[in-house]
Amino acid sequence: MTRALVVWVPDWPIVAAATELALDARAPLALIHRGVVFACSAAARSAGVVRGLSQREAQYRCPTLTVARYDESTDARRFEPCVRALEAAVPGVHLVRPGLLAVRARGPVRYFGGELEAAQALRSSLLEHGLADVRVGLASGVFTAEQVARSTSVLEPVRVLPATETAAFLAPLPVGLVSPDERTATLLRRLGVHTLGQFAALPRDDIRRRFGAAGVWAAEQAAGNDPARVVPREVPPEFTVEFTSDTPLERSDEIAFSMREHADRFDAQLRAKRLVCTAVRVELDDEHGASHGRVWLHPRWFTAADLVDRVRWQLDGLFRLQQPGADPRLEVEEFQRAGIVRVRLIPERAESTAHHESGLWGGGPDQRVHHALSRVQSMLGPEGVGTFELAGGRTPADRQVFVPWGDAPPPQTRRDQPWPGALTGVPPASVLQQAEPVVLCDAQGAGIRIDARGTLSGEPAQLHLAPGEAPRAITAWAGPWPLHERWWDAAAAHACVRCQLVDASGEAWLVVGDEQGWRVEARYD
Amino acid sequence: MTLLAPAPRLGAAVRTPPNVAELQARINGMQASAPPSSSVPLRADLARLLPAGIRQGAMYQVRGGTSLMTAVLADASAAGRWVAWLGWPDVGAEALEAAGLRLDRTALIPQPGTHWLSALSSLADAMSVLAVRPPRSARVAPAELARLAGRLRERGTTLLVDAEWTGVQAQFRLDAHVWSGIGRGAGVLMDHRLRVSVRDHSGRVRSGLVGVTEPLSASVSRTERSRPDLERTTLGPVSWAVSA
Repeated sequence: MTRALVVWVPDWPIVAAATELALDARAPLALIHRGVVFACSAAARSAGVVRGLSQREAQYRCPTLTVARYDESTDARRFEPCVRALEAAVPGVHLVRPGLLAVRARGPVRYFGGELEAAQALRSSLLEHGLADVRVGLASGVFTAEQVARSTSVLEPVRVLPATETAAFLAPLPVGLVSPDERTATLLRRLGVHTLGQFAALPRDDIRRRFGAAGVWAAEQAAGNDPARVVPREVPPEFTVEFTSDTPLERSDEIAFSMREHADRFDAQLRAKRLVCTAVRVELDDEHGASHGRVWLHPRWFTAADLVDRVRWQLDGLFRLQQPGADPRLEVEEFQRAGIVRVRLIPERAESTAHHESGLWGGGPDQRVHHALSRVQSMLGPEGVGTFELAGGRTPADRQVFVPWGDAPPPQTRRDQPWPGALTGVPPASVLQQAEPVVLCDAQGAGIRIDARGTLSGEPAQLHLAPGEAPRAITAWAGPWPLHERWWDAAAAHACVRCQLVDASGEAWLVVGDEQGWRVEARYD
Repeated sequence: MTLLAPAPRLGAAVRTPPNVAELQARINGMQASAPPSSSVPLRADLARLLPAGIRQGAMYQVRGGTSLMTAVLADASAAGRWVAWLGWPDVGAEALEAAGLRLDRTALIPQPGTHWLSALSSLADAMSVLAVRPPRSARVAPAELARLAGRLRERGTTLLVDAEWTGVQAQFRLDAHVWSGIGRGAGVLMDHRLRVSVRDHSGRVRSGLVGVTEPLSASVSRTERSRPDLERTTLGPVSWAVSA
């Protein structure tokens, strides 16, 4: 059984809350969680307040009681410096919960030359950190060591339990300490099992039949064979790379050039941990203190060159922001043209290289496709290359979404929904990016109007595509089909009629008419 | 300037059983470095007009619009080949899907602008079939064209160009659209066929009708058909063949 050393700070929630709220920890103080007392100070305890009491009852027992709300995050946040203080003294600290730390005893015992010396050395390292009361227990297993630490007193704050006395020490303790839940504890007491010794003496097979695996685990703890191990906490490494410039940089190629070395470092850091980054957040700080951030995804993983590309694209997007057609994904407040002083690369998603290893025969054609498309993308910009996703909608333009290569598809409307009013028949071969205004005339050359009921003033006979061009004769047409979208929302409401036209050259058109006139929305060419 | 495509390796095809040859063709389709001996899948009604088929690594001229280009590409994409559309800003995704293209293996470069030729040679490394519409003012120097043709041949990438182009294996030309289902103020465009003529390498011209897209899926048209006003105005299939 591994010898474990447990450092316990009594009433840690009270200590943390008192520091946080600038209260006196020696005064009667209780922390309330879900209406009942979660923790109380020694003064409150001596007045009769115990854990689990309702707030009203606690205040009745101790009228001078100060009541505060229990906050889990304060607990953890305030304890972090203590963990670091202990980590400075000994490596491999297991944070059991705020206020309770476990360490494997073997290393410190050998280093400090004895179990008692090790326990006292670790205690003093925390006392130097400013804690008033720290107890240390050293025993076989984390559970036993915790119970030993709890059995100490202010006068004798360190206790070492020899391995041979483990069972004898645990035997008289109440059975509730190991039972997985309160119901089991009650049941055990009803069955006449009151102490850990009685529980540990039961045959394991019977315990397994009655209480399952959790019961066997509890019985092993009660017998002093704690199956839990000391698991040292691992502080996640920091991968964020920051580039700071003394003079504000205003050109994207300047910044991209300076970023190259930092992107290499970012990549190398991740590779050293056998990680690759598949999503990165690029943050740009300008000289006025404004910050612009955007998350970039990658279909495979980011190389240093890809990162520099993303920084450059984001800068180009930022400098283009005042022009129409700006990237809506860029989160910017109150943009003004300003030099960039800081660039940060933050890995949003890092994955193990094992999941991205290329196959024995190479990654197949898709790897080549990705390289080719990325190369074109670095030539034309992020929106220059992409694929289509189908979406739901009533107009042809609504039914397709262009997804830039490497981007996650945006949330879409569902295509399998009915969409009454959507066009049926042959889907148009060309869907115009910008609907082009046209003039639709009848045989006499008069413009065709749409009345309030959505009927046409005449039969379409001529289509003028561009002002200077000769009109195209219409040989067949269908419609008008009215379309009323989102009539409940004044801002997004859209009412029009649509017609299909076939001209003399055989090309077919989908035209849309409303108060503003006629537009070509799609072409069947 | 005429570029001759390398002759297919006849000896290998004769000795091996047909299923092995077929598998080899598929492997070659996936490996761009393989010699361009196999052909790109082509839909049956177009294959009738061009019995030699569309070869990997060759160039073809396809004039007439998006639908004809879609029809030429459709079976290659359905077979899992990567396809790129270079310089087509207005392609309709639904029409592509209806023609059988796999949208997850269809890349689009809508507006390559002045970079179109360098984008084209980058894509030639990875794509199986490229549908290219060069900018109107584009001029390709003969030396550049020769280099591009060599690269395509080496990589086994087929180029379909919607422009006047030299060194092509065959020319597809759209003569007319044939519509059915539409009348005067009635019906809806239900069936689209193309009258296509193909001039092959030897100068022989074949022409015929090519189907493009099936009408949209039944689930969509059903909701539309339940509208009684449309039911009444549909006159049934009316064919309008309009010659260009």
